[in-house]
Amino acid sequence: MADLDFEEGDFAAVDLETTGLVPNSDEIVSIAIIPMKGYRILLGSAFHTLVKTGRLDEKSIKFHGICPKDLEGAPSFEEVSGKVREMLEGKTMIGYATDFDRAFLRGSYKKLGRLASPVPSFDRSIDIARVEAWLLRREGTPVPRRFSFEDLLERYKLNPASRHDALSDAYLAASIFQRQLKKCSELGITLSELRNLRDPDL
Amino acid sequence: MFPPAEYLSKVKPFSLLQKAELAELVSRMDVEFYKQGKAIFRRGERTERLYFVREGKIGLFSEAGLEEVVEKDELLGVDAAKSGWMPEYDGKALEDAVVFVLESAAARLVAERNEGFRDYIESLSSKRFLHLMGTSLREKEGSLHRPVCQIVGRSPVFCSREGTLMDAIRLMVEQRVGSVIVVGPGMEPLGIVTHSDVLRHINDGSGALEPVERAMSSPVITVGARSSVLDAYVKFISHGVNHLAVVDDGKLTGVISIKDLVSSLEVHSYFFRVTKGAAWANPGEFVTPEKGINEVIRNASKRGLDYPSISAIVARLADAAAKKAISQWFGDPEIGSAVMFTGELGRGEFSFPFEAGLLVVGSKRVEGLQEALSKVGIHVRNVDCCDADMKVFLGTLRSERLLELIDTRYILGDNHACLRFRDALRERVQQETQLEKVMNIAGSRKEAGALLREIADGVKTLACRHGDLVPKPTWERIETLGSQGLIPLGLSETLKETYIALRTFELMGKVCGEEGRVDRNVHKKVIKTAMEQIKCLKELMSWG
Repeated sequence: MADLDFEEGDFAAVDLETTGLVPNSDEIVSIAIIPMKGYRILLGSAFHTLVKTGRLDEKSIKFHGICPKDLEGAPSFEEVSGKVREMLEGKTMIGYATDFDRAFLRGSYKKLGRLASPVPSFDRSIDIARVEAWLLRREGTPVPRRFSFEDLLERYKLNPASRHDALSDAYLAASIFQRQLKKCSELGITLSELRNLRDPDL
Repeated sequence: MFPPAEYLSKVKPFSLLQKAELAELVSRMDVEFYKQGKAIFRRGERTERLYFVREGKIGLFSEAGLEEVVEKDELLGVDAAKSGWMPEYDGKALEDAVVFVLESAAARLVAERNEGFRDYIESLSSKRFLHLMGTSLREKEGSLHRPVCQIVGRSPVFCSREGTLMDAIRLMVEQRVGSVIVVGPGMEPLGIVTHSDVLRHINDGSGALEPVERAMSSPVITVGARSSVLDAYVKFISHGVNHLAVVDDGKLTGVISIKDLVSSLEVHSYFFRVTKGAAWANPGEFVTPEKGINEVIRNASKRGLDYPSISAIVARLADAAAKKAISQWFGDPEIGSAVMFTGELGRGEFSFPFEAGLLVVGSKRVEGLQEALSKVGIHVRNVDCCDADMKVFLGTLRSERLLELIDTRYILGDNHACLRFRDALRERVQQETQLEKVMNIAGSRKEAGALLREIADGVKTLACRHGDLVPKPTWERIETLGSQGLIPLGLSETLKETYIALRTFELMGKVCGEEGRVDRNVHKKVIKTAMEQIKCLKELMSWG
């Protein structure tokens, strides 16, 4: 049953670049969304954009490498909000640290005020780090800490040098999830159980 | 670059695309994860997709079972890029597989714009293997596009401007060069003194103790060490000079002559060096890996010479080496006796390292022959000895040995003895009724060496059946049979192409190592085509 669930699952691998770590005060500078139908990553329907913001500071530039000049001519979040909503509606969001991305997305829609009402909840999401921890615990392997994205890339033999931007990270997250799905289907976990996984007490 | 595009950019034929073209192709592709056993496509169901295996293996199944395994970095459905694709097999994941699923319409679109990509797909689809393989190494080492520093053979010979003409003459004699570069205190080239300059200067009545500056031509024409060989070529032509000073950051680092340039471009000069050079003083050096035949073959392959051309030259070199080794060991052969190569070398083909059979006619002196030839790098598998009564010797041989002896080529001794042997062999083969029964051509083995033997034996048997016992390379036999209508024209053309491609794989693998490896798509297609064609050949033989 679980496998049928997965084969038909509508997913969207998401990655954001932001000006900082606080959803209420910081802003999104780049969004990448790659839809997945079951095990298939649909690159043809991928969406990737930079988002105009006035809040870029040196610290965040060092982190994501996006400079104010890159954002010249980029759309505002308001301009892409419709597209983002359309791509995520009815989908299970996949990614690394999805709580963070969900909080930023919700925060961005809230800032739009009445234009965006009602604010989408993005309540269905799967965090690939949590899935990996769950898979290991099922094998009886202790999980000493939360996996970093690099840890996951290494575990699935994906090239960390391929990390260039939000689109690359969303693709790598989708690639990891493809492989995790296969393992999960063999262990009989359902999609809703995967969505409800929480970080263990470490 | 986006990870899938980055990956594809290193694999043929996608490596032939421009960045934007590849991005376009990738933007219309899906990345599928197939669990082991999952069906990917079905036999007879038309598809408009190409499948690139990124990880894992795909099995191609007929009703009889697994026919072929498609592995990492292989592309399935190349024909789809041209006009859609009708799989002959069911495709299933043999193990968990990640597959890039490309739209054939997108591939067609980029193929329309990119000539290299289009050419690759069309050549693979129409089995023009040699065209595909011939360019693979040249791309890596295009002679004219290499940096000049790669063809500078020795340190520059130079003197300071304060030196005398005599100093320059002494340097020319001691270093055996035709020119000396005159340099300033910072090694910057100021001028050049050549043989002709010296002669002209002395003829004008000037003394050898005069400053070299007075005899030199200035300024000297220079070329950057990192400039291309093509740039150097243009300078030679446009300035009408025979020498160029090679400079790096304005300082002299070498000299190239027009002769160096010609040597680097002209493959035959390598053969010339081996046949005429110092290596011949000792036949053992014939196979010195760095300087000998290995290098010759390597350079010839890299410069795009095809297997038949290399084979024609190398077989002659092997003859010459064997002749020298045997005569040094034994002195002149007895009257009425001769030595011949049999097997592959006997028909003018070669594998590397060399392996051959020997046939000694009219003499029983065979001890030490194997040892003598091993000194020139030829491993002698077996020595046959046929004394004056050739008919008795041939009468004792079974069919498979007769078939092997059809390929015999004279090395040294009495040529008439060879001709008498060939006449006796012809007579014996005509009486032999079992010749074809020894053939074991199945076309079911996937190893290049086995396929080569099966094609060579099949073609030789067919030629024998029609009275052609002339020893010649397999591709020439195929051509002859094709021109006589004994093999259908389409088959003979592809068979010849496939045979040479298999030979080239073998050679590149042994001589050029990793850099000589042909991409997997071409390799697989050649093997598959060879297997199909051996079956056709077998059918043709069974028709009588």
